Order: sequence, then C-alpha cells, then structure tokens
Amino acid sequence: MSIKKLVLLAIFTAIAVVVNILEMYIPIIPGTAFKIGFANIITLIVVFVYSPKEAIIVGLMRIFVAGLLGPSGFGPTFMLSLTGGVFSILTIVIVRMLDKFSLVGVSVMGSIMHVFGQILAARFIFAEVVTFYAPIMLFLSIPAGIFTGILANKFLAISKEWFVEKKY
Amino acid sequence: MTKKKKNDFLLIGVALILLGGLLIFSIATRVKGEIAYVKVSNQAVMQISLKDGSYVANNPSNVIVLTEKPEIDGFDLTTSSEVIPLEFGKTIVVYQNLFYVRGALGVVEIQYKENKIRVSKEKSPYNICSRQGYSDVAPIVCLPNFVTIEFSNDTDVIIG
Amino acid sequence: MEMSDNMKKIMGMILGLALLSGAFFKVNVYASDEPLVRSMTDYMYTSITVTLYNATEEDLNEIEKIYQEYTIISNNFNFKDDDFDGVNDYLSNPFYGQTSIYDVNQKAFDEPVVVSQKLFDLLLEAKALYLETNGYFDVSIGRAVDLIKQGITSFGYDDMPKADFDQLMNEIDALGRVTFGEVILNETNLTVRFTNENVKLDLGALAKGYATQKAVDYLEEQGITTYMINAGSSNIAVGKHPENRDWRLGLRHPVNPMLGLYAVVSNTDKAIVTSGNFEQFFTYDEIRYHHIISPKDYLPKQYYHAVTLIGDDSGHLDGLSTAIFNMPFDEAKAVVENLGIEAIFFMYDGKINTMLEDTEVELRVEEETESRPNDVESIAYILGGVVIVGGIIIVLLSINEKKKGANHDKEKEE
Repeated sequence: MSIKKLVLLAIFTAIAVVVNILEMYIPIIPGTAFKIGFANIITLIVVFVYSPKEAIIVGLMRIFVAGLLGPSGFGPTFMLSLTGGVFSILTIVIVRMLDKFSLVGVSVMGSIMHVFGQILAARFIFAEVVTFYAPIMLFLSIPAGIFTGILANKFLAISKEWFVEKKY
Repeated sequence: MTKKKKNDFLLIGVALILLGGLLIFSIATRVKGEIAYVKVSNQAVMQISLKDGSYVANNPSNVIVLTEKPEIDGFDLTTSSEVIPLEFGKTIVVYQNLFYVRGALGVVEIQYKENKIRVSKEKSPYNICSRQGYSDVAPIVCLPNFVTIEFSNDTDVIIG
Repeated sequence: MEMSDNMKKIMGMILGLALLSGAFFKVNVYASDEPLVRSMTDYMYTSITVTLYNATEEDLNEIEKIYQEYTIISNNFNFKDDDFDGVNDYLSNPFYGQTSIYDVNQKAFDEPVVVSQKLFDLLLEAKALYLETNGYFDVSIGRAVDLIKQGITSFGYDDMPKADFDQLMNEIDALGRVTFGEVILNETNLTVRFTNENVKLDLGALAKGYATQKAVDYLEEQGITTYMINAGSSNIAVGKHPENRDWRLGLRHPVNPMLGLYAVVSNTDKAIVTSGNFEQFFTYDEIRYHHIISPKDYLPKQYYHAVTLIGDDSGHLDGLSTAIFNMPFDEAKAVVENLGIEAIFFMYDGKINTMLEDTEVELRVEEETESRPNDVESIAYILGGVVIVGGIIIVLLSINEKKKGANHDKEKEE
C-alpha cells in the first residue's frame, strides 16, 4: 500500500469519525437513534474508489473510534451503532461486489440495513418498545440513503482528478 | 439510463412500496393508549391510568407518597424535612401528578396531565427523552436511563 | 397541469373551509370529551380520584365533602396526639370536631355515646353486614387488627422472627373474643354503647366503600351518568364510559406483579371491590399474614390471594369482600349466589374461579416475558454470525471476481 493511499484512508477515517460524532448530537426522530448516515458517504466513496477490504477497515475503525470518543462511550447505545454499522458496511460491500447497482442503490441498501441492524439490536437490549418506531425509521432510511448516495456521487464527480471510480 | 441506474430505480421502488406499506399499516392499526406502563430496565414498575392519573405500583412496598414537591438531587429526592434515596428499579415516589423513579443516570420525573404522560425532568446527554413531550400512544424512550413508558389500551384502570 | 387563477382561488377557499370545519369538529369533539378530574389524597388514608363527564366543579366539591365527612366520622385515631402524622389534614377538614369512631371507642363502654345520623347509618350498615355474613364481617375487633397492623408495620413484606411471632400470638390470645353483638345501637336516641370493654370499632374495611356509594348516590341524583370513582385502586365505581362501551378494569396479579394482569373485566354502572393479601403483610413460616383477619380467630386466612366482587352497592361490597376473604370457598360461593352479586376468586393455589353474570372477563394466563432486557450476549452472537456470513459471501464474491478476471485474461490471450 502506498504512503499516499495510507494517508488518504486515514484522512477519510478521521472525517468519518467526526461526522459520526456530530450526528450523535442531532436527534432526527426524538426517542430513537435515527441518523441520516452522513458517515456512510465515506464508506461509499472508499468502496467505490478502492476495494471492499479498505471500506471494511475504514468503516470498522470509524465505528470504534467514534464510539470511544463519543458522548455515550461503550454503553448499550454503542451496541446499537456497532450492529447497525456492521450490517450496513457489510451490505454496502456485498452489494458493491454484486456490481448490479450504482452508488445510490448501494447506499439505499446500506442505509436500510443500518436501521434494520439497529432495530434488531435494540430489540434485544431494550425489547418491545422500539418496534413502535421501526416502520417510520425503515421508511425514512430510503430517502436518507438516496441523499447520502447523491452526495457521494457529487464528491466523486468533483474529485474526478484524484479519485477514479474503479471499474469492477 | 445505464442498466445499473435502472436497477437502482427498481430497488428503490420496491423498497418504497414495501416499507411504505408497512408504515401505513402500522399507523392505521395504532390505537390510543389507556394505560401507561412505566418500565425500568424493561420491567414494569408501575402503571398509570391515562383516564384519571391513578397509579398502581407493582410493588406497593416501594411507593413513597409525598405531600410536598421534592427537589431532585442526583439520585435522591429532597424535601424540606428529609432526603429520600431512590433504588434503581424499585423505589417510586409520588407527588400529586408527578412520579419519580431512578434511572441509570439520575432521577426521572414523569408527569401526568390531561390524559397524557411526559417525562418532565431527566438527566441524559441530549435530553432527547424529555424533549419528546406529552404522549398517549408513542412510547417515550429514555435509552440512557433505561426508563421507558409504553402505552397500551388494554384497560381503563387497574385494580389491585 | 396549468390551473387558471380563478381555479386556484376556488381551490384555496375550499381547502380553507375544509381545514376550518375540520378544526371546529375537532374542537367540539374534544370539548365534550373533557372530563373533570380531581385527585384527593387527604382522605381515608388513600388516594381517591374522581372522574366526571358532563359535570361541574360544584359536583366535585360535593363529592369531596362526602369523603371529608366520612373521613372524620369514621376515624379511629387520636389526632390530638402529637405523634399523629396526619393531624394537619384533619384540622383543615370542615367536619373536624364531629363525633368520630375514636370518640365512640373512648367512651361507649362507660356510657352511650350520641353520634350523627350519618355515623349511625354507617354503623347500621356494619350491623347488617355482621348478621348477613354470620359474623365474618365484624368491625368490633379493632384491638386484634391493631396488633396485626403493628406486626406489619414492623416487618412489612418481610419475615417475622419467631420470638416476635410467638409474642404476637400470645397477645392475640390474651385479647379474648369480642363480637359486634356487644355493640348496642339505639335508633331513637342515635346512641352507641358497648357491653364489653374490649370492643374497639375499626371501620377501615367499610368506610371507603360506604362513602364511595354515597358519592355514587349523589351523582345519580344529579343525573351524572358518565363517571369513574377510583378509591385507592381497590374500590371502583363506574357509570357509563364516555366512548359508549364498557369500562375495562384490569385485575392486577396478586402474587407476582411482574406478570401484569391476570384478568380484565368489562362492565358498566357497577361497583367493583377487591380485597387481597398483597397490599400489607408480613411473612412467617412461608405464610403471608395479611391485614384482613378473621373475626372468628383473629388470624388471616389463606384461602385466596385476591377476591374481586362486582355489584351495585360499593359499601355493601366492601364489607362483603372482607368477610368473604375469610370464608372457605363453599361458604363464599353460597354468599355470592344468595346475594346475586358477581365474583372472581384468585385462589391461594393460583387457580381462578369466576361467578359472573353480565360482566365479561378476559382471563390472561401468565404473560410471557417476551422482553429480554439487556441481552447483550445474544446480540454479540448475532453480530458474530452476521460477520461470518458476510465474510464468507465477500470471499466467495472475490473468488468469483478473480475467476472472471482469469477467464477474461484467458480470452484476451486466445
């Protein structure tokens, strides 16, 4: 791995961490941990410019570092973001590798699975309650995924010089 | 339009229909609650009737009824004459239409008013829980404190 | 689609009208649905909540007065005693100073005590219940009740040590039998007299229900038909329900409250009273010694964990539920049948027996504790599973890619 690549990945990870932490402070649906998922923009960029391997590493690092530095630490809310994050990163990677969808499609799948993973975890940790918000969260993850996908596309379009979307 | 983009549209369309349908179904079958179950660590510790604010505690030995409004001080409640420590998952303090339980991070104050319930005071990173306001159907979730309030329309009042 | 300006204006007006009428409708519906609620905690040592529909503040005041008066006259504590906690509540009570049970208990052995008509009628009801239940309801056993209550205060919900238990039993034996037969009521002079100095009247098992029935009588006189009175969650009186259906009352599981409700009963225009052994008790030798003691031997019985009666007179039911709690099941059944009331028995062994006519009941078996709180372990397993499966899929896909790439290269070469 070249130094340049290492540095770039590190910068991406750092940005993802910051965005992730910032998002923790903005409640979109009160009573839930629903987020737009801007941190996933980084995951999408990395998986399309580099390869699944890098995306997984950057993604997991982001979750752990953000969990560490974030306000709630490694408590039960961390389990939620870990599960959601793992589900979404794996989905993004797998759907990317299938090569049947463009970036926006990958993003939507990723964001749906993120919410799904969060709800699953919340059911185990906090049981019944969360099923109330599940339908609205799942539904809203679609526009959220479209939005973040479009943003990722814009970034790649602007930075065509430096990052080339890898043909898979 | 490239094939991939077409697939995207297909995917999004299917997702919207499925999840949108689920959402509509869940809203349509929603019923207004009659009883609020206050749960600490997912165990119901008391029920409050939305009809008249009467309550039934699961363990009456843990209920303390006050005649003056207490102040919250960390994990205790203080009145002009005493300091009342609260035990997690056990102690319930009642003052008129205010109910106090101990959450993981501090004392949670629950208020009943006009057939609705809200969390009026609590200690948590973003105070999401108290910002939810009054509710009589959407559950009030105070994740960091492990306190949740769920509504069911089983019954108008609980005897016992 | 282009709309002409006029069309837009018309659409706008229609929309505006629709919204306005919607708002009106909502406001109207809301207004008639608003109940008048008053929660009172100063009376009868419990919390009483009155919910009235289509009534006025005056009505709430009148009902409060009823509870105020019966609190004073049925009181059997010395509230001139400095140690008495609730003294402030009494001083501000407008009926303070009226002859109370405490006054009667002090003097009735020495001389007949004059009481108000209301207190006399209350005692008449106590006497009727005494005769009706063959002595199973007996308000004269106040001394024995005091002893048990002392035990409960000292060891509430806990085990009583043997020494204290034995002492308690001795003290109870030493009391000697008293019955309501030794209470003489003189209707002409409105006086009460005891013929045994060990009589101590304790109306705790009757006053709440009786006062509630007076409140219900008032409401019916005033033509208020939609209401709920909840006295201490054990005495409920309901009229009609505002939403034109039956009132649904959940019966709390008396043994393990975590299980929630063991039944839900539905009815309208009824009084519902519950007696149970779970509110106040101490334990000894695995038995719950609760505060409903039998007048026959001054000990609490273990036939039931809870008895719920449904009928038309709150006071009558209040006394009956206390009496029935101490009757073996056959006798209890007979009483229920003879009096034409309805009942649900939560037996000591956990079985549930119902004697119902027009009340509907939904029995609930042990509710599954579906909720698994804090099951972080399971989540970790699921996560691990997902990661493994995901990893395998990724590996397979990349092998697939490599193969494709190799074929591609091969094709290029060929």
